[in-house]
Amino acid sequence: MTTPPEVAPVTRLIDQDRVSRYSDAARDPNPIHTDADFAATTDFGRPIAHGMLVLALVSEAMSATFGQRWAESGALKVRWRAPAIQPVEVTATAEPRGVTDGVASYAVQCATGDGGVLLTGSASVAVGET
Amino acid sequence: MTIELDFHGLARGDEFVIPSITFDASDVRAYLDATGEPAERWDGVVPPLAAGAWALGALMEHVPLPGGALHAGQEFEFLRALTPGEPLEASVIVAQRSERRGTLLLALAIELRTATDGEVVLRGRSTVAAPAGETS
Repeated sequence: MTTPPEVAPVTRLIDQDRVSRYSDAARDPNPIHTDADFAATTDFGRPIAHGMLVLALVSEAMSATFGQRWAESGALKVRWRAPAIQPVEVTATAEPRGVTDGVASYAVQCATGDGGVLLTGSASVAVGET
Repeated sequence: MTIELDFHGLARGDEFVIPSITFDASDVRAYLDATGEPAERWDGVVPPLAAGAWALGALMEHVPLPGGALHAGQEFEFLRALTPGEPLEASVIVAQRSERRGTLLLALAIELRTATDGEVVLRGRSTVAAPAGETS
């Protein structure tokens, strides 16, 4: 086993404008993300960001390092731990775990600026024999 | 016409096909604009998570989520880079169904394939939690 390439973190502000644009772009009609009146009836009381929008920061971090290889051999396995309530600055990180049989693996996480964990899981991508 | 299935009525082993999923270059631009990922990284290629997001969007058209539903977990395997405009279809199977303390948990396994030759380009597994309701 060798050490996988370092993956730089990605930090982004997720606000209502971004969430609304993501709803349209991702074809996600769930009103919990965009409808304040509907969201007020949920446990969260106000709109929350899409989990997939938060996860997109992890994918962006991986693609920045691996480029198209990420699209050809990447894998993700995550659980959302808490909702991202906009506006919120989110940082995605990928901590190298190892390389086995030509596949690099990482522990991934998305967290808010004050340390709240939104998402945890793993990512992997083929890097070939090293 | 899109056939809508009842989320609460799905049973383990249920299968269905989403016959047509397409996205073009403007869809890719809109996705990248929304997520903030640099567009130059994906010139002529579909970001893999975008394909996953659109597959899930198509899934939600067929199985509308009930109010209060939450996306609890997600797995993806990206098997091939897609180019904008490739005609795709998806097959979905209910991999798991459990109900506990008033919450229904469904795991939906999805395979995204090319419509021309059936090559699998993406696999996913979505875990969705929703308030348990009446089975219709």
